[in-house]
Amino acid sequence: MNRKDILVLYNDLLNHLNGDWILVGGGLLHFLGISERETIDIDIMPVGEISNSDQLKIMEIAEKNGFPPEVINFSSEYFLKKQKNWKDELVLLQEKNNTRIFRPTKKLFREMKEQRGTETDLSDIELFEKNIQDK
Amino acid sequence: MTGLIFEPDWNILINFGLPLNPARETDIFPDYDDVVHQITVAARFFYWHGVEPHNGRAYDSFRALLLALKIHYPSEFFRIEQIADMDFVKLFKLETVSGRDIKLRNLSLPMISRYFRESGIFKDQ
Repeated sequence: MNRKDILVLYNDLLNHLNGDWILVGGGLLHFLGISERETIDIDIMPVGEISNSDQLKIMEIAEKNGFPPEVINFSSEYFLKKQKNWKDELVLLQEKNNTRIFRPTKKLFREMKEQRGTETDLSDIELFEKNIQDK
Repeated sequence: MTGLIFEPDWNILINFGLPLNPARETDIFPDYDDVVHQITVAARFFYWHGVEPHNGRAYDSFRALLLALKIHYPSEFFRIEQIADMDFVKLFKLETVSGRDIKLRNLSLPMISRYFRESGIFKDQ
């Protein structure tokens, strides 16, 4: 997936979702414009509970944009929500109509990425910490 | 490419992260030099034999393992490609990723990352 396609998909998702959502992972780095590294995952999760219809809608939007629905990675929610006080570690990225988009703070991003700790995760942490300010 | 074409040692690859038996939670961590060697043996095996009905799942699993390395351990992927003296991206069509590839990669990646963590490779600096 290239950066342009990822951004088109994110914009389409944000135009069709309601509520509060969190972006993480390699897709977030594309969204923030600090990396163009290869990724085949779009990590998006709700701040609250995700419904089946949300999941279906997100996968349909991915497919409409030419991606296999499997690019949507819902498993990040598990890793995010098991972090202590994760709700205090969200930074608002964008607000539009009834939708708000958040990203994790540097601390939360590091905690999530360190768990798996692949070579790419470690370089993502470095990039994120070098290029992003929380305040 | 010349020489005899051997079948890879599937157990070594499975214990590294080949998603042929994904329920397996193994504490066997094969030597990394053996893993790298078996990846090159498997690449030659599939290059030579191609995809046949009896090895289709193994082929798909091997592609997923390569995909996991390419995206999540790019320097290792590049190093193994050089050792094998093969263009994995072209030979295994890694630029085209299907939903099935992603699902198999999702099975492979936790095993590979556990292997690297347990073996002390790619620790945070």
